[in-house]
Amino acid sequence: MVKLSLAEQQMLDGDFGKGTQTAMKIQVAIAEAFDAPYMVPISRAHVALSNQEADLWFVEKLVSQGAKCKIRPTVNPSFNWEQMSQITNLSSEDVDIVRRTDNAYKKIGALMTYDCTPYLQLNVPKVDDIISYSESSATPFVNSVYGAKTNRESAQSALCAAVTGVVPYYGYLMKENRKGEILVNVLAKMDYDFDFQLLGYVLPLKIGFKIPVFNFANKKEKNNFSNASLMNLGAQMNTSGNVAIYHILGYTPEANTLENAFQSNLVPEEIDITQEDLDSVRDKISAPIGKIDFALFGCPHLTFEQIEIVTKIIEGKN
Amino acid sequence: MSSDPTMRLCEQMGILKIIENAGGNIISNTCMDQPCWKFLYGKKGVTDSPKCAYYTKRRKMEFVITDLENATYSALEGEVTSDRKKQFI
Repeated sequence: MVKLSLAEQQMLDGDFGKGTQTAMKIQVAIAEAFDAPYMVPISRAHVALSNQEADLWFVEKLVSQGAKCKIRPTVNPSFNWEQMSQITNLSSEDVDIVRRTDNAYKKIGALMTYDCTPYLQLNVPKVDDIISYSESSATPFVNSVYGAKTNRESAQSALCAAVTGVVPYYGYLMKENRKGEILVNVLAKMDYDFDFQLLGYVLPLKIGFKIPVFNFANKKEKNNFSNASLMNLGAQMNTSGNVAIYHILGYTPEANTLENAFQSNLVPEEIDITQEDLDSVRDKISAPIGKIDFALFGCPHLTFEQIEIVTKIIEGKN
Repeated sequence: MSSDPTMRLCEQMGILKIIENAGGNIISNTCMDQPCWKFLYGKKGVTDSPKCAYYTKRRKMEFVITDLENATYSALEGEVTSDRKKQFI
């Protein structure tokens, strides 16, 4: 049974209103499901707003019950109907759901950033911060690159955390659950950001959902990783698998040494990843080369540096 | 697709204009897993992101996955090739 502080118990009892009570009820249920002993305060939250029916139903329910965020979360994108309506015809139903979602999240107190990479610009945590982040690229980035602590939250559980200001203490919030479980010797050179996309996608298919500790044995600059490469590594691992934290030996904050990364002198398991592994996954998931009708980049949202790459090619071409 | 602050930075630096003149656009505040892309359903595109290709399967969008550099060349030419000379600038 989770032990609640006086204020948390008052939230559960409805003393802070029905909306806060609903959010706390859900969090107590999560705490009990994961045997969390108590709640801990959060300093930041990010809600992977999806602009889909269940997402809208939940936030409107909380709003109708008077919920207000104690910690104002940033939010994921829906779609920019004003900009998209210049390109295509949008159905009134689709625009309506965007407007309702926008309205509900504003009412509950969210910051309408509409960005799936908040960790690069508007919602940047520090090492050891306890936070509540949903979104497949965000959770691994903040856990791994910054050393902040979040579980792999859903949009709904992160929104509940934003409302109550606390999360159940379990999972990746605890140091012992963040230790590496497998040493991944990356033998590919990893010269290009795209290699990290493929590495992220192939790894869970080979190792399951273990916490990897990467050793980039043949990478030229071992202490130089672009934001895009780390963003994409995490995004792909959390898409083809369920990997919400990783370590890079000698680079990320919890992996200064092999011993720190595994919290032990023993490496429980080891695997090699070659260039052939990366190439084979691309061959498997990509459509055949040939004529195309369109190009779509930015999943996760492109960084400024990535957009500059595109622009330089355009300028060179023209 | 990018964040609004990044798109505004690109606008200030003249980068957005270069992309627009080439027939492209930067769409802010938008995710590929949204119904606003209906006009691309059933069509074949290019992306640098396996995640993008994964999530849009249910929307019947097909993607060639390649590095951003090659994807950009491909967008300009209307065709994805395996010409390695073009892959990296």
